[in-house]
Amino acid sequence: MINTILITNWNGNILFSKYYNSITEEKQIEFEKLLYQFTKDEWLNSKGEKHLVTEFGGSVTVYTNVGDLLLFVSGSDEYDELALSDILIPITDSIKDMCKKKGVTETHYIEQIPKFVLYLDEIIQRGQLDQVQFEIVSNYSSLKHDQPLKKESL
Amino acid sequence: MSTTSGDNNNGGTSSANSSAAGSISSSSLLSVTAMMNNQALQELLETKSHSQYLQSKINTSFESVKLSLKEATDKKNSSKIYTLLQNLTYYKVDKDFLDIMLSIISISDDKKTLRLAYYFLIEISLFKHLINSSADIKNITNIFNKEMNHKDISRKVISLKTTALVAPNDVLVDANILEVISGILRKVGEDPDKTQKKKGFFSRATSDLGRERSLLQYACFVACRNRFKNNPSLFMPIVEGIKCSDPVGARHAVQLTYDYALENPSTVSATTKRFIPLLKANKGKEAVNLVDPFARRNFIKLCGLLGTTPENKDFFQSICQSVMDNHLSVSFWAISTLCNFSWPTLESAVIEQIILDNDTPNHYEILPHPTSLVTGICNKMKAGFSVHTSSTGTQQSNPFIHLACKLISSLSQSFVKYTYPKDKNQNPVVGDWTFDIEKSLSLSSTIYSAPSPLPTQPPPPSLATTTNNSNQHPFSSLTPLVINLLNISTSISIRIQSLKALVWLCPSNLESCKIFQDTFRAQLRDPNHPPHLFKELFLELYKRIIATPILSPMVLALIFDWIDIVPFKVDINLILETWRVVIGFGRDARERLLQSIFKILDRPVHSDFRVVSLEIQKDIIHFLGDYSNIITYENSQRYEKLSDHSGANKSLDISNQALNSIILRLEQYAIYNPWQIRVESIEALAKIAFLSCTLIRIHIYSFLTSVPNESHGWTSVKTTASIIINILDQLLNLRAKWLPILKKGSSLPVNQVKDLKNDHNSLCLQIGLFFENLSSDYLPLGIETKSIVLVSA
Repeated sequence: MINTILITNWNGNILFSKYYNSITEEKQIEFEKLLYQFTKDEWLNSKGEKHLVTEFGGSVTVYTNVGDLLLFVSGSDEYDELALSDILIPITDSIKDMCKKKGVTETHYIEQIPKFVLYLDEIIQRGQLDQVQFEIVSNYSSLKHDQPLKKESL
Repeated sequence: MSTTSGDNNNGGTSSANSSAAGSISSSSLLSVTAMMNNQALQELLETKSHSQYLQSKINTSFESVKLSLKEATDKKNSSKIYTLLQNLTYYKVDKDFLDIMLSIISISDDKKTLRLAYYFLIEISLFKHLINSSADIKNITNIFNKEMNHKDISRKVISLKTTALVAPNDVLVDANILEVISGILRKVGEDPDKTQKKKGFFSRATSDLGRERSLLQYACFVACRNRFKNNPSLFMPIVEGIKCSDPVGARHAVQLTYDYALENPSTVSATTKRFIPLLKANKGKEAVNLVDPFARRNFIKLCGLLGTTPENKDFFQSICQSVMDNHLSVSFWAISTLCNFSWPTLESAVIEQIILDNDTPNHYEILPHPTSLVTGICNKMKAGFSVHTSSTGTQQSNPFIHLACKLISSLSQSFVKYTYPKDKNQNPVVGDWTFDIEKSLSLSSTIYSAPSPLPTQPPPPSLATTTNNSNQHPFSSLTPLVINLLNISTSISIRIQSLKALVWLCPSNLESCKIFQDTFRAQLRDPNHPPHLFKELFLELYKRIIATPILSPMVLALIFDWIDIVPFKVDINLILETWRVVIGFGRDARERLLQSIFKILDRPVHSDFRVVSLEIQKDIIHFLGDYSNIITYENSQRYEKLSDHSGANKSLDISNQALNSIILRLEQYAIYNPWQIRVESIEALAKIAFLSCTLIRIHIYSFLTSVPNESHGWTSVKTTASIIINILDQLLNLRAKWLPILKKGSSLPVNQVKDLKNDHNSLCLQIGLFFENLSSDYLPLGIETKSIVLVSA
């Protein structure tokens, strides 16, 4: 399943966290510590939305940078590196879309969290992947399921 | 990660508990508290927000939002409800919000408000087990029924998906939802366009099913995944749903079919075989064309489950064909799934020809001729490496390389384990360690110059055939690509995976492994490599020698390098565990191990590494205490067995030279080192004495009683030595007392038997303090006591 989504700023301050794997708060903190330890030296390499990878504790994490934010997606079992990398794309697209007016800054992202949670809810639910095409994600998050798509799906 | 507020130091933050105060830096806390009152501070410290840092950035508080939302809902103030729901998204909700959300859904018609309310209902579903009041259940059901009759398809979809999650497990509720789902899926199945159905061509978004029906179908599948897994009444509609025109709906249907297959593989295989793409029998019929890559991944997963039996080889073949999928993640998921099959199956498998025609889905690469699966995988890897290791690379280069290395490692491991020679008990043969690169360079004299007093083991089976294996490693062509990663990639994760892959790409042959040994050794000299990289590498080497003992000399040499070059990055427990494995490989292995240990102990140590090297030395001494007797085949009966020998080499036979070399070193350490080493050495000598023959005991006893005691910190050493001397004293005296009596051969009177047992137990108790697990058949007073103390026990 998809275990975790984390969004931080460049200092590692968490702006958004979602744990789908029902672990305790202590385990969450432990996970965050290890994630920081294993990835902090390579954050700069993720600039330009390049996807990087780390692996520990039985789960794989793919992370990237968009604007002022760092996005981390962790998964296990069938959600391997390439699957998580594919999943990062609609999440990144969502953030870029909702921050398109003022750019992907920390402040603007925080303002847009109410919109972001709905986007994310269409992409991942209970640790299972749902929609991956951003246009559909956007429509469904506004309860516009019957809105015709501008282009062919996938 | 840090959840502190106002911390602008790059990379200098530490992670924090979202509800614990202790981890917040004091400077940031001061700046925050200057602006906030006590209640707000309380809120900050016990925030329900995603993080304390986030809470510090927003102007709301959870309690105020909760209270205001309740008021607004009671007053049906729509605009305020929407604003407050937006504010609530910064927080984590609980079951207390259930009534509010249900009320909002009842009273509101605004889509934005409704979507938020449904979002929170999904969050509340985590507390479903706490929803048990009949009023709540009735409320949920009523809203569900009302929404399912709404003309807006969006509301039906969201309601169905959400209610399946949040509604508590209740027979009536289940029946209600199930009835709705069954009705929808039945209606979809009754679609009148039979021409389309016959062709089985659901690759394009068809309007005959209708967008609305496919959406509802999708919603049903999501609901089933969360509530009705493996429901028998839904089996056929779900299987048919693999052809759903909604790509994500099809994906969920495949996953649900997989869940059915876990319980009923034969039924599912019979029902889904007609969907296998590229299967000749299915061409022009019902072969699916899953446009969603994740749906194709799920289908591969299903084939992986079903394709394990000979009668279902078509499913296995489908996975092989999927290696040629042009979507990288699907292709590599196919390879990953194939790793679960045995090596002989993979070796004999073929990717069949793929030609472009009307029936071929457009997500396959063309393959003009049948190709062996292994070759196909290698080609796929090489093509991927050429793209993703170029100077530009792509966004997904790192994930590709990371996964590629893992798969190379897994496949190579499968090959190595299968082809490595086995003995009659199916254990990997130890092999001939005669060829040793390090031995040709080493000038240190062997400690095994004297003939062994024990009969040698029969020579191990020859591994001459493995020379051929080094040329036949099917993935050896990928070795340069993987080695190149160590030159071009700065990512530690990728380096770890590369090294792990190289461990299994290494041929099972000492003569051919030099380049690998040099590569591993070179990594030790990179100052940027963290300790955990080496731990991963040596853990993989540990697994490798279990599978292929022949490579143990290489690993022993690398362990020396690890300790010598970067002692502060050593995991000594892993090293000791590796040595324990080598001990199990027999006489030659133990000899080689002891040479390696001595080389480590006798090496000169750089002054910068003195402290950490002493720690390592201490652990090695402890290891020698526990394993010297096993390594050197020394036991308490050895002297007695040999004392009757005759011949020119009797004195040499009796003297265990290997053990002597160990004892000599321990005695030196017991005198000329810091007190921690001296204590450890003395304890090691004690353990050796307790398990050895009388000659050795007398020697060690004599040493301990004559050791100097002048240096500072000697007290604890002296105390330990005193205890050991006392025990050895008892051992020797009691042995001297009982041996003549027992040698008479006559049975002992009851009181003597009792005394003997008491002496035995007392000694075992005292000696047992020095061992983690003293063997239950340990005989401190000699083999002669066995029939008395062990039988009666």
